[in-house]
Amino acid sequence: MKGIIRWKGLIAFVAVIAFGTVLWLCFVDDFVERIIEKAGTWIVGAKVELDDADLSLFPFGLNLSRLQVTDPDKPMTNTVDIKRTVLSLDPLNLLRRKVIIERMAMEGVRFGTERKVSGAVARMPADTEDSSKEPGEKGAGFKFPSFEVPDVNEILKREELQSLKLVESLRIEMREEIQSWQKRLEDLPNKKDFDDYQNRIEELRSTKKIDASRLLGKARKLNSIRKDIKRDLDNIKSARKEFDDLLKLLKRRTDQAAKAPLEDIRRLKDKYSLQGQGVSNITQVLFGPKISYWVEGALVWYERLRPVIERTKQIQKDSEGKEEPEVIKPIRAKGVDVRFKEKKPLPDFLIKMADTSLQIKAGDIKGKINNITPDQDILGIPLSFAFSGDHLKEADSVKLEGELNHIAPSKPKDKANLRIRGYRIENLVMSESKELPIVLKKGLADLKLSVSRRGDVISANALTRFYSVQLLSPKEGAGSLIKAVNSSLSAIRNLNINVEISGTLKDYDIRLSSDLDRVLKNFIGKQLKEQTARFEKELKVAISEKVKGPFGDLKSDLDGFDSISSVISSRLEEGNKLLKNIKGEHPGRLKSLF
Amino acid sequence: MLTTIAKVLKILNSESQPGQISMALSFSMVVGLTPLLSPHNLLFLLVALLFRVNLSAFILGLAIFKGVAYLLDPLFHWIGLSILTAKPMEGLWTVLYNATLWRIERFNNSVLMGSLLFSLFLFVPVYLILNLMIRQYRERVLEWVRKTRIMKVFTASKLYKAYHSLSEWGGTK
Repeated sequence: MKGIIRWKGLIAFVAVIAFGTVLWLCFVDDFVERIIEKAGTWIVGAKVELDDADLSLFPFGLNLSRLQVTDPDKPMTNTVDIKRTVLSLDPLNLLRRKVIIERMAMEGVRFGTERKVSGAVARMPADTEDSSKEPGEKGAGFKFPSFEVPDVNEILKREELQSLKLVESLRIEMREEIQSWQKRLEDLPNKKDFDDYQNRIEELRSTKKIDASRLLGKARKLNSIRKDIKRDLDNIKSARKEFDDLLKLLKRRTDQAAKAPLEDIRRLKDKYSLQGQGVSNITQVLFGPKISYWVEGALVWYERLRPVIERTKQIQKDSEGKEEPEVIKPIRAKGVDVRFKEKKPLPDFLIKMADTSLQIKAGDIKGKINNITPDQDILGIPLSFAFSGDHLKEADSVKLEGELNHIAPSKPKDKANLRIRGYRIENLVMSESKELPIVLKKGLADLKLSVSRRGDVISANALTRFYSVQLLSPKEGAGSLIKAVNSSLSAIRNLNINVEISGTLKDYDIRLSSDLDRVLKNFIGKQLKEQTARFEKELKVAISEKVKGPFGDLKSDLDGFDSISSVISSRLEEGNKLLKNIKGEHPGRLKSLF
Repeated sequence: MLTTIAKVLKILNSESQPGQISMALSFSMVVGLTPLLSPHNLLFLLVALLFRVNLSAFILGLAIFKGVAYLLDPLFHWIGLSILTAKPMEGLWTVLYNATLWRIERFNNSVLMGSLLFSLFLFVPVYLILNLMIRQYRERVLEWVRKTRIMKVFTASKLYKAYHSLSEWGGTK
């Protein structure tokens, strides 16, 4: 036995173990620090730095000093800066490769602190949407209506007046009709024809003392003349009717042409007058880009923090539908870890309770976060959080509570409620619109926000009530418009802004409404009404002036038909007179013929 | 490379029993092929130190097998995953998975399981083959090697003498 066993070897083994333990104790803090920094940087996509990590064995826990998490979009700013974090770990579960933190206390949690050196990293682990765009670059820009009255003369130089075109075409038509009727008058029975009839009658009259047979012949001739006159008169009457119809039509069209300038005025007014469209929901266009920017930022962070509350898993099922051992790829290791059913399932990582003290601009807020784990499906309890603070530096009270339920990872149910009372605001840029920037110089606000997510569907409602406010537009220039806008804004003392978000995580709608709509709409509407009336008046004068000449010509052209009318009338009168003479004379005269 | 060959020759030419050398190399194979910081390696280290095996051979074998392990990782992963996901073994693995000791061992890692099974499976054959080869070498080649000029130069060097005096503790007797 003595030959086989080397007792010195036992001493050597103990020495090796002791050396390893000493080495571990010496370097474990640095090792933990590096692991936290490396894993954090990988998750966030920007530098995560830790000033110091101290692992204590009795009681078993970890003490972290100043943890800085860089904002990936602003490398010179920390998203979160935690002064001190104390974690008490469960050592037995750690041996089972399960990081179970019984209690975590975070002190001095601040947001948006400045960094001395850039925290940018060369490679981003996750494909994040570019959310660094300024709010002004996003969304439809607001275009404040121009209250400048357009130059009417310039418009009339560019535009073709329909009324003028109508008058011109009517005049051409009238001239053609006059020519045509003048030609027709030549064909109609005229004075010469009637004189001929008269001569023929006179000739018959001059024949005296004739026998009965010749008397009958004369009567027949007279009858024939009468028929001829009647036929001619019928022709003239028919022409008269046609002419009257034509004249009626032309007069009607002339009347229409007289109304045409009004149509031109309406058309040009519609085309060039000041438009009120786009001012129907000013809140949307003014605050929409900024709200979108905030919402996108919140969603980007929600996605970034998702690995903390949800882990991608591949649940494999066999042909009988039973779950097979789960294969999970570790972040960085050779091979894969296969998981089997546990008797008392526990997540790989769990913070049972985190006490947090947040140092935000408004003041210090304290709260608790329970059950932080990426394996909620194993734990069976959702993450919940509750923060509150009273009598803060900048607000009367703040209360935030919510739940992130990813127990069924495919059907997450998240909700959060935030209530702020008496938030004191100074110089808050509410709109960065170039056309109408709005600054809330001073005021108080109450906010009631509720957000929820069910599956992919999100909905949010935020009602902000501003009171004792001083609003102004810091737009450069001292034009009357700016003065008027500022006067309208300064009259506002109370303001409600309501934001509603609905849709899916990738495609959502933001609807905004506020009292500002009514105030600015009234103001803009009044301005538009005044300026439109002025424009219409100028347009009327200019168009009337322009159509006056051609319209006068049209009337004189219409007068040209009067001479034709009088010619027809005189011929008709002459024919009628002649016919009447024949009829009047017939009984006596005829007797005289015998 | 030359140093490694020299070391191998030194061990082969030492007065250690062939069994001490081949056992040391077999232990080093297990420790070298499996992930170094695995708890079972502590056991193998203890055995290697406690039993009178050739420590020089153990250290040299560890270095060689560690290099080979990187090349064989895909094979170990395949073996490990096949075993761990084999239906008939599921009950056993589930029991082990629920035992803290085995969780510390991290037996459910495919590379660890594959490499451990692979090295344990080869442990006895490697021991026997190496034993046979060392015996054959000593009987047929050793004398010729000792007579070579390079070996004479090497055995006359101060480094060799210093190494020889230290290695007395390492298993010759």
